[in-house]
Amino acid sequence: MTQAKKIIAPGLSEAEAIDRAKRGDAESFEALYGLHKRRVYSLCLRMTGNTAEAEDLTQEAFLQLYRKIATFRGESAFSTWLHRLTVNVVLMRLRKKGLPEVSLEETMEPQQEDGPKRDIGARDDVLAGSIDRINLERAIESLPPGYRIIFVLHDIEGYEHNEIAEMMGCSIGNSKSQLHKARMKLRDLLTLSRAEKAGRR
Amino acid sequence: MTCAEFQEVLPYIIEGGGNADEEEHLKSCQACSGLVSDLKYIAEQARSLVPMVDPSPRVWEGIQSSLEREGLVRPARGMGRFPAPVAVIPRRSATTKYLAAAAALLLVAVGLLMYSGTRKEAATQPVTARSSEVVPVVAALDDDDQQLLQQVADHAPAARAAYADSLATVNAYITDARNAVAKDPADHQARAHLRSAYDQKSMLYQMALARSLR
Repeated sequence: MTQAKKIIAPGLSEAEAIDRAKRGDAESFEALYGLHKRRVYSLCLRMTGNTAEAEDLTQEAFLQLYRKIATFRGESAFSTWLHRLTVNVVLMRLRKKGLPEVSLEETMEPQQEDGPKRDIGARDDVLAGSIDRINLERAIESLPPGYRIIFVLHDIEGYEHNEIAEMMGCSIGNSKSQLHKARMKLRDLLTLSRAEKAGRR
Repeated sequence: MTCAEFQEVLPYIIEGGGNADEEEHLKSCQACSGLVSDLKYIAEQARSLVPMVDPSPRVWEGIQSSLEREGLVRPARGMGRFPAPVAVIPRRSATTKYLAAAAALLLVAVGLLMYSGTRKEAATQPVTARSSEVVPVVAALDDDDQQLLQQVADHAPAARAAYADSLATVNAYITDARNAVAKDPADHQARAHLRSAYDQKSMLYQMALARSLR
């Protein structure tokens, strides 16, 4: 019976669900949750790398949504509004925990890190066509938190550097630099993974 | 330009392109062009990643509890007469064809699920009881429904068939739920289904009327 009820709810258009949710309609709240839960949760999970944390943040994001839904005027798409709200919820949680969202300044000299210099002339082949999504997801999970957040926001979620800079309180240049490091790190991880697979054959 | 110099500025030019020297180096250097190719490929693959995982059911349970505690939701609506259709201010939405097809598909799924559920229930009843309560699979459209369909046909002829299917299906759902409530007035689930069915029919009316007001 509950399953039948859940099937009915999505038949409600999103606009109608939003309108009803503003008036406190419980079924509409559930319908909106059903429509957006996966994307919100995936965003939280990718940004935190932790299932329990991601679930907690998903809950918080939707609660904030429902508290603020009366203020949604439709200037942007609802999903965009919810998405931005979710990012803010995650970032706020990270700040409270004191985790380094990103190394906001270049605190290390470039040569102290795995940097591009090591790649000069060393590679014979390219990655194109050799990555599967599962490996990429695993590699993203294993990124340091600061790199992972920028990468998720820019390359997966599609935010521009100026938006990321505003959200993270850093410069556009720093956002670009951190993204580059994230991609370089992923390149190393994916190349290593490919080499390991080749070695096992 | 050396590779080191090129890769120093790469974070800032990879998206928008570099100056003439930088572009020239990129064209002529296999290592750096391979690097750029890899980084762009990673970004491209990332763009194609889609959310794959749902949160556990306890997330919704937690949200529900908080909503009730904070008084953000209205209590569930009680039984009442079929709500009169209300004209709504038309809003921008997906095409009618998509909405009608999506609603029809969902309603067919719901109707089938409900019908199979009530048939299963009926099968456990004594034969004599069942034989007097045979219900049609698809209920007829009443006068209000026909009027609504006429209105849809006047404004969006292509959508009429989809609305007719959806109305027939939700009417069948209402019939089944009514019969279940008639058999057992204390059956809360059947009552909940009947409420949902009326809500669904009400929404169909609202959608159709919103369309005809455009």
